[in-house]
Amino acid sequence: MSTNETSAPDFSEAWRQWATQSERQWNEFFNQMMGTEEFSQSLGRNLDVFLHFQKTMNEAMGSFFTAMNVPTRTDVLALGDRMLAIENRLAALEAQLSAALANAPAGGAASKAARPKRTKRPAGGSEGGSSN
Amino acid sequence: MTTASASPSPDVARQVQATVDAIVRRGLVGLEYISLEDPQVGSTPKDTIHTDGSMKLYHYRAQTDEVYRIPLLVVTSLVSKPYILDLTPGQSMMEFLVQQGYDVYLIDWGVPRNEDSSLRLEDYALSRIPECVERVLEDSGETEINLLGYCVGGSLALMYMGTHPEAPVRNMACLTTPVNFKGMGLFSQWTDERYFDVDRIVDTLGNVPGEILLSAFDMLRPTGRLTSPIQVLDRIRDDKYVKSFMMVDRWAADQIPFPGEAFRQMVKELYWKNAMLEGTLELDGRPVDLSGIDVPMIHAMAEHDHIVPYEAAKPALERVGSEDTEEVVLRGGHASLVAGGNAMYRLWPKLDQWLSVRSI
Repeated sequence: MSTNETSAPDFSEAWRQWATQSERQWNEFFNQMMGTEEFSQSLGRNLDVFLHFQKTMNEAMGSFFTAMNVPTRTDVLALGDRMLAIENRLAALEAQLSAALANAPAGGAASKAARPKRTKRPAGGSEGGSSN
Repeated sequence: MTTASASPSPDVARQVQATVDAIVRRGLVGLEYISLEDPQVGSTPKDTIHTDGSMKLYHYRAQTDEVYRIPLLVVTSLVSKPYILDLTPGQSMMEFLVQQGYDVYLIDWGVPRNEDSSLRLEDYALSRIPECVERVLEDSGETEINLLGYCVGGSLALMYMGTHPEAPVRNMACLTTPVNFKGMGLFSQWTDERYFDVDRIVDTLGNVPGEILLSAFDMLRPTGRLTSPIQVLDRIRDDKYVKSFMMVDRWAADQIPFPGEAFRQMVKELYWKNAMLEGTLELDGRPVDLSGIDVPMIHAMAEHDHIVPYEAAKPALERVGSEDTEEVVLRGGHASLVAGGNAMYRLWPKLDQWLSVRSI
């Protein structure tokens, strides 16, 4: 009986296929267009215009801030550099401190004890990737 | 009469009803994912054991009673944030590896700051990776490590290996790692030497802004922004898929700048001269000799990777001198190779199978 029944059309499957195919076709079309030498040339030209604008803006803003007696971006970045140098000195001190603590008899023993043993061996065939 | 023939069959009506119900239900749950301003990413417990500028070296806390003897050092990409490898609990490659008993370390290059615009490939391959390797050996008390590189992180790891024949590396795993930059599709087209003024870009901007990189990635799949929501709608009933999609999508939009000088070098040396493939790449006068790499190596690539296509990644294993090599091509794209629902059933178990016997 059931073999005579006509199954309902699967609209979602048809729609899915259409969407996938359309996406592929449009991407292919755009990729072909953007893969031409003309496109690369035009991209380069647009980038040049953008960079020229950016440079002009930076210079104009720099002059403006200087005239207003306000720190410029360069001044702020220079401060950032000095802070980075301090950060690096602190990190180096921290590393030296950690090393000293790890080498100290009590600290070293404690840190080693907290670590698991490095003795794990792979289990037989079926285990790989089973935890998820 | 006509109204009867126009009515949908009960089957179709039921199907539509079920879909609408799912959309309403998902709408509520999905909104949770969409509205998360600060989703929980990169949350596998870890400690920072070393820093250098914006770079951090993490050590993931063990979650097993025993760990494999050889520690694993992960080199992440310069192009994106590293949390794609530690996306969210239950969908994190780092969490998976730690739970399988690996002693995992990861290099996070950080978000490049203005002062990082002077960093060159040498700073990564000849200075920062070696100092992290040293730090891992010191921290673990071992004399050798396994190395895993994702995307450009893999290329940097290869540059390190190619300039350090004595490197204490026992095995190496690359994930979708570009070596042949002429095979990078539209990227190699757009960086055409005749039209792409990389000097002007770096001299003007310093670091290459994330917005420019994001636009370039979007242009590779121009319909992506439109079709992505359709894909979510299509699999609206699949909780795991929706969550993972939202997280990966968020990561893809979370684009970071690229360090300027390294970008200049990549364009000139790798895109224009294809120096890594041709074997002519030199870092600080030291040749990057891939043929000198003789450790066992696996390279996993994605079948539908539109960012690092197969042609760009494939030659990695052909160029190294290793005899024990394995190429794996898995279903998925650049991000879904390592993160999300597909990765946990495809890449991660494969990686575990390959690494476990080589980590003792």
